[in-house]
Amino acid sequence: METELLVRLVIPDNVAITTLNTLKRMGYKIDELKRQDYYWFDCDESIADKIGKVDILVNANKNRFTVKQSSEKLGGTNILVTNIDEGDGLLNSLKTLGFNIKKMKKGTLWTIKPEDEKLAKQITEDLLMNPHYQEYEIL
Amino acid sequence: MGQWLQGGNAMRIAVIWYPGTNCDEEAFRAIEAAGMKPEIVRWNTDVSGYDGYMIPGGWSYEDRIRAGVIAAKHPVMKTIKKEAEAGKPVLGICNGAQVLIETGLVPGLKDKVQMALAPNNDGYYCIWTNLLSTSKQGRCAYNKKLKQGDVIKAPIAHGEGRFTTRDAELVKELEKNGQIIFKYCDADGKVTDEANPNGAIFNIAGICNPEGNVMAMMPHPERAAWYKNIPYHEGKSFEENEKTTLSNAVFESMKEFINGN
Repeated sequence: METELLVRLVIPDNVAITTLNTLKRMGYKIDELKRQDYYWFDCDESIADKIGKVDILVNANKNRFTVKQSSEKLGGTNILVTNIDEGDGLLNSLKTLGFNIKKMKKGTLWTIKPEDEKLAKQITEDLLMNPHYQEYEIL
Repeated sequence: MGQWLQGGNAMRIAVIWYPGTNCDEEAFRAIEAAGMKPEIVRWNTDVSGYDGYMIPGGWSYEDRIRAGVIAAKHPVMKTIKKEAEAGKPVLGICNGAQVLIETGLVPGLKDKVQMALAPNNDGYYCIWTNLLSTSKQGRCAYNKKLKQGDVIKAPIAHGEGRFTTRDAELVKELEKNGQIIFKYCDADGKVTDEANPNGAIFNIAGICNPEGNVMAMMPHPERAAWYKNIPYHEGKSFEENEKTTLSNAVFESMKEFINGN
């Protein structure tokens, strides 16, 4: 069973603000940029009720989360940037906490306005990822 | 190379201070100890006209997105790139190295980003390392005072310092060109997996551009400029501890390069 967890900040996101300012300085016309932590899990059983309560993924003082099933569509133009060799540190920690997770993926999900896939590709290759250790997909 | 000199021995080196830079003071002292005149210069001022440039370590822009990339896209780097193209020396250490890699100035074989300083294999790491001077003496502006085979000590303190690339031919080309200036090694100068603190390909610790005037290195020679900085040198006399080490040869070499020697 596949589960996706999206974690966003409810306090000002300085990374997103700096990124937007940098993109504007680089000449890109972008109205809005949002950033969320993205987790994908493959498990035998549903973890949807419990995974958002894990404090190493979600700090209730500053984060809110959304658990979505893989069939659900995200709104806007979304760019998922992941590291190619992420390692098993987080997976092992979650297993220690009792989650029977077979595989997982972690990344950063960027959402831009206006919705424009070509623009999304340009800004990703120009700023949001380094192809020598990261990869991306437009969701 | 002496045509940029401002007169006498006053080789003015701009130590670029970005928001989040935190190794500017030790860089200042190491440059000064090598006989040059450092000036800490803010990133949002005119930095043109210096004899050389040094981008020190730290957390420019809090490593937002990934280490060094926001600083790399700042207009100040256009000025520094122009100065580098004119042949002036540009040295990036730690976060400075990350900035130079993200601009593509290093390794500089193509006009694009050819490498990454990816997260270490084992996370953030602070340790003293040994560095083997791998290239021919004088191959670049920073090894003029280092013989091939010399070993210097320098600490590392980074989370994203693993030199890597997806271009399979690149490392061969760097080796062939002698652009790999430093490799992690053991105390005897042997390049081993055990001596590699972050998983960098081929134990790479420092790389220069083809012209040899721009170098990106992750370890901090400026934090090992005097014997008193080096923990393994305990028990020596006060006079000995006040002497500069072979690690400061990186900066002394930069001075020689500017002098045109």
